[in-house]
Amino acid sequence: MLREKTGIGPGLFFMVLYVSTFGYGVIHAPRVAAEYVGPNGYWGFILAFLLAIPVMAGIAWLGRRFPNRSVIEYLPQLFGVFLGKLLGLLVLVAILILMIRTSRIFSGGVNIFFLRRTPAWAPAALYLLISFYIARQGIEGITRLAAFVFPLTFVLSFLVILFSMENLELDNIRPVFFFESGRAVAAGTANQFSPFMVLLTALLVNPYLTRKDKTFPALAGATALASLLLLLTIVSGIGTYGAEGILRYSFPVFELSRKTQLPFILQSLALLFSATWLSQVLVATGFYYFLLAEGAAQWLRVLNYKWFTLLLLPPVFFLSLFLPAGVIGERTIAASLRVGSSLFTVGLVLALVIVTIFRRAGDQDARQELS
Amino acid sequence: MFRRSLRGPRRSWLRRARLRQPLPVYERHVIHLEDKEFTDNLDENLKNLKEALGDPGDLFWRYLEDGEKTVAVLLYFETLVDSDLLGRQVMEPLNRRLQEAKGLLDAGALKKALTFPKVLTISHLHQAVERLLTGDVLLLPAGAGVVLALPMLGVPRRPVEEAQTEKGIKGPREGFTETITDNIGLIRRYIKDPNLRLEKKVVGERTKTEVAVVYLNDLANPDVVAEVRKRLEQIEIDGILESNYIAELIADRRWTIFPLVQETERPDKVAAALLEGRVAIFVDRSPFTIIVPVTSNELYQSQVDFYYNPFIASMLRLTRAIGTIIAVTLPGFYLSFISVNPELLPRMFIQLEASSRIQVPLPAALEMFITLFAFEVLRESSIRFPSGLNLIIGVGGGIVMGLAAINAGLVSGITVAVVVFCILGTFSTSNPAKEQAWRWVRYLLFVAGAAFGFMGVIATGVLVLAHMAGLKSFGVSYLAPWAPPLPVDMADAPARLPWWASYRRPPTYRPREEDRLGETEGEK
Repeated sequence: MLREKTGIGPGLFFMVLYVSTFGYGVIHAPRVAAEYVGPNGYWGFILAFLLAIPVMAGIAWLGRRFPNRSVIEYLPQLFGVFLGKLLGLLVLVAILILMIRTSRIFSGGVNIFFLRRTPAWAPAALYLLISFYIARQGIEGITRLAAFVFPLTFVLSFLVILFSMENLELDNIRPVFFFESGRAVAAGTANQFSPFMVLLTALLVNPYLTRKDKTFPALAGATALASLLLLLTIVSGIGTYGAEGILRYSFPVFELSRKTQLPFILQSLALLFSATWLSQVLVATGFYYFLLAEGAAQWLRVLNYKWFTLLLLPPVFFLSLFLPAGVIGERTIAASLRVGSSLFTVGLVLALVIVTIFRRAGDQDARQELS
Repeated sequence: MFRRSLRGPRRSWLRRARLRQPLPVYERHVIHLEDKEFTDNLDENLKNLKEALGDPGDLFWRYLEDGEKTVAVLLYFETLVDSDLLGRQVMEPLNRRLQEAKGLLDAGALKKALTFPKVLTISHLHQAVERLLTGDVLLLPAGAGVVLALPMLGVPRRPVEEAQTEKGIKGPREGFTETITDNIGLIRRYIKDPNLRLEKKVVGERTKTEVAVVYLNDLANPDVVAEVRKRLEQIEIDGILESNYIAELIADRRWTIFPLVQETERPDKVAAALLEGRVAIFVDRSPFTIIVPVTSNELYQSQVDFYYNPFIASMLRLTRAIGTIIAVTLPGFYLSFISVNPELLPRMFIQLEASSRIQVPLPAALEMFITLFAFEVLRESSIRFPSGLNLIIGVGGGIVMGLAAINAGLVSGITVAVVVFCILGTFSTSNPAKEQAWRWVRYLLFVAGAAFGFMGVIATGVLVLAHMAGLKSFGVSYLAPWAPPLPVDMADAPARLPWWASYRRPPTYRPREEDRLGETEGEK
């Protein structure tokens, strides 16, 4: 048996999705927005969110069409064994890249802001080991952990973003409807869509969802809530530092959270923001690690996720810790990775929906129910 | 190994490995006894019983004769039975009956002669041995293939006293004792409902400890009751000396420091749990009763909360939760701020800290560890002090030792203050087992803080939460009602709902009937 014998409700799914989207999306959101679109870079994010809505609808539809299978399992049925397996492998590689990139961002951020005298591999190793442990708890444990951290992290993140707006200057985010070029907006949208790659997890986690009819509300709700906070972060970041000013910082969100001052209550809310971000990104990475391990078990049709969390540990460690920064120019390929992940997310869901319709594929019961 | 892994993780490998081993000596011995039945020959029966017990020094027997021949034999352990009761309710009526009787007295006639309320008729040797060992007096009539067992346990009993580990200012002062019948009686005094069910089991090959599963039949989830039965039946152990033996053996996960069952000394707490649809397990010789299922949140609730005004009770709950959080995280955060991330502290605090530590020769982590460890030693040893000296040595020793260490420049005043506050905060957890678990988590966070600073404490905190998120108690999430979120229960978690608003039982425990008065249609 490759799969855990358990299920998660829409509430738990909502929370794990929110935590993953916000945790993975927030750290570079203002910087990317300012870099591609300029002062009113938030438009790129709004457009990206609008683009995510049909993607979510497609994912929810596919979930009802293949209620008991994950995307890795039904890809060969849709595209043939070779192409299906190849696409399945691409999904897993995409998740692996996302995980590794985030762990490297994490170790970089922690190294700059919190552990200047500690070698970067040490916090990265701690981060990966904790993610590994979270992944070993299985889908039920991960979603419960997400549900536990959700209320506190949401409230704290929201407060920090809200209070960081005290130095916001409206002139920095104006003019509202002025775009230098349509191409810049398109590039901004493509880059800012990358946090919504988290939506792909719904294709993998689908068999565990107990209420398939609630998949779309859960997806839309979690994405909308996370997007609202991301949008506020972008507005606050550009509004506080200006589009050019924000590009000076490697981690503008940390800088932004340090602006938040509540005298006599807390000298700075930055600490709390860092704590909430770290908690969320750890849960999200654990979630990704689990999906990667389970996906690998389904792709190879052997063992189970617990074994694959172990088997994947050496390559994940190697790619995260021992691959020197100079081997791959991370700064130079970051944009390509973002755009690539956005195109992959939209393209994959679109292709899955089209092929499913044309081939009239899907589980028998589900097809009858939908018809 | 490979084939097994394809079938998924194998959870009970330890148990199966044990089954492959040869039977232990005591199990083989029990099987040997089971085969024998009593015969008509009194001497042979007595000989067999003596042989089975190894003829110990405290085994007494007394022949009852009608002047000519032996009519019966009384057999008992002098150290277990109430000799006064034996004389009054067995010897006296039997002797009187023997003087009056003409001819041989059979088992039925002897039974009639006794004024004793409960007499068991036994035909197998192993049953007789078991009854004898639990404090019964055996009456072996001549010529009958059976023996009569009269429960006459006369060991000293502790009276009902106030619970030592869960004292409260308000509410009943009763606590459980070591006698299971007394403990169940205390519960029956609280719940006078015919639905209160009691199932007795014997656990422990050598100790034959009596265990009772108690629940309200119309409230407790049948799946939980069945699971309790199943897990108790699966226990294979030579002896149960305390309820923790059972608690450990029936827990959902073995490798965890968090308590997955609730143990309490308070009858009112058990009664409240039964009314919520939970299941209680009483263990003879233990003043602690096990309640299942349990959540982490439940272990912060004290029964005293329900005896106060809801606003005051809510404040107490909040104090308890904050106290615990501080007790667990403070050493880690303090250490991370003073040794790894001083830039995160306000300037005034850095000055204060630097001035207090200026003469301390030890690194902050070592200083903190020594101080924490010294208090742990003091705490552990104070448990074994004679009660009269406990307060003097505990408080006096702590103050004197702390002041001496500060004056000698070994530790800073702030470090001692942090540690003392931590130790005090630890006790705000209302459950001793949970308090012990947090005590060790504190060291984990302490190490993480020393090595990785602020981020280390947060990351390790998430690790601990992840561990807790993976725990279940009889199918109930340990982090409920927070994860998975159950709004009805959430309202009653940080605050205590007033009684007029608590008309539903906690859905976390999935009772058969959520409405406390059973007025909701469609339930049951």
